[in-house]
Parts: sequence; structure tokens; C-alpha cells
Amino acid sequence: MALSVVTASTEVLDGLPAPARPRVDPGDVAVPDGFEVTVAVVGLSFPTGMGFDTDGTLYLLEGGSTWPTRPYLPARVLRLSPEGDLDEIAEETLGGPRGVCVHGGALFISDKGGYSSRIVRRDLGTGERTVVVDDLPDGGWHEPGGPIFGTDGLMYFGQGSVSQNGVALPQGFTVDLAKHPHAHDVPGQDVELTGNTVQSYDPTSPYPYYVETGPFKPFGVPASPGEVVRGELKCSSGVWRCRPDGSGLELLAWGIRNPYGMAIAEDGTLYVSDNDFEETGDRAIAGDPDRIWRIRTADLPFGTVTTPDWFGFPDICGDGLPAWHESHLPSRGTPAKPLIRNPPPWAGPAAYLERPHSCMTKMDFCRSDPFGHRGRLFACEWGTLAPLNSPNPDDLQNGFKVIAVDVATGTAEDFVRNVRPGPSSAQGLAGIERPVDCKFAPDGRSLYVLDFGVVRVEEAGMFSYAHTGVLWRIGVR
Amino acid sequence: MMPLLLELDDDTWSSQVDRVERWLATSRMLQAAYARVLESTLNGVAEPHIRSYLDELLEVAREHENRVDDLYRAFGREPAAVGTVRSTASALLAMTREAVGHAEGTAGGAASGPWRGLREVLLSNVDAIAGFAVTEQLGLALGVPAVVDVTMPVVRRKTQDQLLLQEYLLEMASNAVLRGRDF
Repeated sequence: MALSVVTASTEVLDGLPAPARPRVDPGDVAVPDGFEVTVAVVGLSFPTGMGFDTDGTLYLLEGGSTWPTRPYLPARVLRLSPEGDLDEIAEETLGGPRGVCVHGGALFISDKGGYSSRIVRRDLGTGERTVVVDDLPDGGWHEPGGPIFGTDGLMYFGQGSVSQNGVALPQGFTVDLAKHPHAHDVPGQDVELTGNTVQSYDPTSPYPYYVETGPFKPFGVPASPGEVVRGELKCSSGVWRCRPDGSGLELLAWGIRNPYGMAIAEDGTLYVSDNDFEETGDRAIAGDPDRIWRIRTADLPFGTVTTPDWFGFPDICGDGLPAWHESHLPSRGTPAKPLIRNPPPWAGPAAYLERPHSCMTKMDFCRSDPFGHRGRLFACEWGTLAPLNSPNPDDLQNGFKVIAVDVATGTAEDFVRNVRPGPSSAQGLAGIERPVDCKFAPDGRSLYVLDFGVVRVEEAGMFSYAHTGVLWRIGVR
Repeated sequence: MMPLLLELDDDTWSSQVDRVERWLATSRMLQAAYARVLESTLNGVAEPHIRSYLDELLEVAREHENRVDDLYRAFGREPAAVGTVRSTASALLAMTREAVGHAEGTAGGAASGPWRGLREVLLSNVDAIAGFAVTEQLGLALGVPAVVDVTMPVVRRKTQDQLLLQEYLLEMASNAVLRGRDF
């Protein structure tokens, strides 16, 4: 479908019509020596992911209903040809697409919407749309991750938690309580509950009386001590693999709060990014680091994983400490209590720990000698939602960059960032806002960075502005 | 390769703002109608406490009506001339609301007068809230933070006012419906 696309006359874009992002300037973006920054596309609305074909065609997703869920703009799949032509090839359903990759002549897209998420296959030749994996529990706070393909020809993907902090609570009102009052987390293994519940006001009631809610329950449904909740293959907070047609679905791991970013190293090892608990509300948890997990069960032969690894959600933080540990006690909100009795063994430690609320998103391994940094995992950090999700002033500028992670040592260096920390618009500059995805072009000489756009965060809300998304290119000079 | 601008060209952008402008006229009309029905109801209220609350609401309603001019400016347009157009539109809408409220009130056995008027106010405020709230979505969709600066406090206050209106409607409902008494 034809889009309204024009070519800018200069590399530095000034006087753009959306006041939220009137200027875009590669000069305000800092990268290491030997690299240069250019702008590829400006004006994207809530972009959420992208994927390259081997010929250099880049598929871009506009997320539709994203973060926050309104306003909705068309949930489009866009195609940027190597010659620089941009068009629309499809539109996904409400809420919208979150991740895309190319495999076997088709696009594989993860979609969020309604009470579930799904993986959709779109044939690039015929345009036929087929749902290959459906009914991943959602309708809540977090996102489907992936999909990506391994050299084994298998598809790897994830699904984040339904609840924000382990129990469905009013903090996610517009996401879950208003639209999906029956949404709840689902464990990947049988779990025995402690019976601890969380008290909160019911904002949907004519009188805002207290209600009690337990883990793995819809809002307002309590848990009982010793109660067993059965694990399911299609759980929330899970990571799976399957054949491209969706058959042979195998749960590799669960307990991963938001596995939005997924990448496979040259040696075949699977890594998944994950976001920390939030320091707000009726189960508030402070100082939980963002992280990247190594999924060891993915090393096992396909079809042989009998017990998925558990990475801690809803009770364990990224550092391996319980959510009720004194180092994670909140300075606002109600502290957490244990939810699972006799939990499975924790599958950590993390391959990499990042500052809380950096909001790690999508990632890609560098496989290129010309680009340098071969073997490093390039990871986007969408950036903090403080003060909304943390009262800690130290959290206000975390994220807003792309880092290069050495997964062998658990260390990282900034690769793409603003001259000063934080989103560029907050400083009156025209650089990076919120990197959501990064992918290496097949030529091995450039890294593309997808910038979600401008988001204003306040104590009591967040506002995302359409037409402020940017596709950046970081190339070898 | 030079950057591509997606839907940011002058023609595309101005055609979308044209559509916003038409919605702003609707939004103004809804708020004006609310203020008019509120004023009309207030004139018949004898109960001093309710009268005091409604008096404050009317002052706020007129202030909110004026904020629509700020929304035009936020979108880069001059405020539309209101005058006769607004008066006509709000009068028409007020009459419609009144007819609806009267019909439903009569069917429910309610007395005429302020209680019925309060119900009309309640209904018209829902519409007026939507006017500002939808405008906020348009501001977000076109990347205009100044719109949100105007709409957020307006929607918040009007939502709070809606709770107050509902409380008095319900508090006085038994007197109005069972005893045919007003306030």
C-alpha cells in the first residue's frame, strides 16, 4: 500500500511538524570513533520491532496500541527496500505487532491483542496470513518476545507476565482491569501457593472497597495457603521453541517477566532480555536490576526438555534475592510477600545485570568483522519510566541507549547514546529518545537502531507521541 | 541516502489538522451545551448546599469552555469564531438533552425541576468529557504536547465533577422518585 513518503533535503531535519520532536540531528548522537550516524526514516508511529531479509530489505513494525495503550495508530508492517523505497505490506490486529523476522520466504510476527498473544506467518509471495502459535496468555502488562530463528531451523519466542509485579492489580488499569478483567498469570510448572494475597482498592467498583488478589488469579480473586496452580505449556512469562509451522511446541523457561529481546549467538546460545519489578503500588519492589538471561535449556536437543528452567518471576529479583529482601524494600507502596511455596530452583545468575528501569528491549549479536565488536550482544535500552515506576531520583536517566554486552564477562559499554544521559528531548537536543530494537544489516557494515519516539513520563501518567519514531543507521565510517 | 519522512509532508499533515479543527468545534459545542444545561438547572435549585456546588461547577465549566481556544492554538490554528454558531449549536444540543432527560425522567416517575435537570447535566458532562478526552488522543496522535497540557487537567476536573453530580443525583433520587419532591 502506498504511503505518504517524501525525501528530506538535508541530513539534519529541522522544523518537523510534530512539536514533540521538531528536530532530528545525528550530530546529537554519540557513537565510538570510526562510526557515523545517519537518519533513515522519520515520522514512524510507536515502532516496536524490525527484521532484515538477506537481500537487505528491512521490515518495520508500527505497534498500533503500545505503551501506553492509547492512542492507537494503524498497526502496520512496513517494508524499506535496499533502494530506499518505503511501503506498507500489511496491517495487524489490535493491539499490534511487537517483533518480526524473515524465514523461509515469510515474515514471522509476534502480535499482542485481547486476552492472548500469537505468532503469525505472512507469506512474502502470496501475502497469506496464518496464525502458527496462538493463545499465549496475555491481556495484561507485558509483551510477546521474538520471534527469532536459530540455525537449527526452529523458531524461538517468548511471552511476558500478565501482571506487573506478580499479582493483577489496579496499577495496570487501562491495560488489564478495564479491558481484560479476567486476565491472570499462568505458571509454567505446578506451583504451591503460600496463600499470601495483596490488598488493593477496586477502581471498578461503585465504592472503592478493598479486595484481595492472589498470584495466578484474576483481579479480586484471593489465593489459599497450600493451593496448587497447575502449570501449563502455554504459560505467561515463558520462552518456547517450535517448528516454523508451530508444531512441536516446547517450553524452555518461565519466570521471565518481560522477554521482549531475544538473540542467538554464533555458537547457538540463546539470550533473552528481561525487565525488573517496579517500585510502585500494592506489591512494590525496589532496586531490581534489568538483566539478560542465558537460556541453557535451549542447548538441549529439540523435544528433550522435560522441565523448563525458572528465572524467578514472581518472587525472585534479577540479582537472585527474594523480592521481600531488605535490599528490595520499597520507599513507597506496599512491600512484597512470598507467593510461591517451595519454588523451583532458580536458573540464574544473569549473563548481564543493568541498572533498574533501564527497560532493556530487543537485541542482536554482531557477526561482522568489518563492523568490529564481533560476538558482542547489542542491546537496546528503551529507558526508564521513573518517576512513574520508581521514586528513586537515581533512576530518572537510566537507559535511553544501545549497549554492547560481552556475555562472557557480564560487562558492557555504551555504543549509541546521547551526549548527556536521558532522552534527548528532555535536554532540548535532537538525538536518541527510546531505542526499542537494533539489528545488523546483512552487509555487516551497519547497525540500524529503531527509536520508539518521544514519551513524557510524570508522577501520575505517561504520554507517547505518534509520528516521533526514528530509524537511525550507525555505519562504519 | 537522504532521510525519508513518513506522513510528515505538508499536505498530509495539514489535512489531518483540518480534521482536528472540525472536532474542536464539536468539543466546544459539547462543553457549551453542558454549561448551558448546568446554568439552567442551577437557576431552579433552592437547596443551598447543592446550589453552592453547582455554582462552582458552572464557573469551572465556563473556564473550560474558554480553554478550547488554547487547543486551537496548540494545533497551530486560530480559534474559530464562536458567537452565533456556538449559541445555536449549544441551544440545539441543550434542547435535545432536555428532551431526553425529560422523557426518561417522566417514565421513571420523577418530578420535574432540578432533579431532572441534574440528570441532564450528568449526561451532558459525559459528552463534554469525551470532547476533551478525544482531543487529547488527537494531540498525542499528532505529537502535540501542548494539547495534553490543556486537556489533562480539564478531563481530570470534569471527571471529578461527574462524581459529584452523580452523588447528588443518587442522594436525592429517593425523594424525587418516591415522594415527587425536588430540592
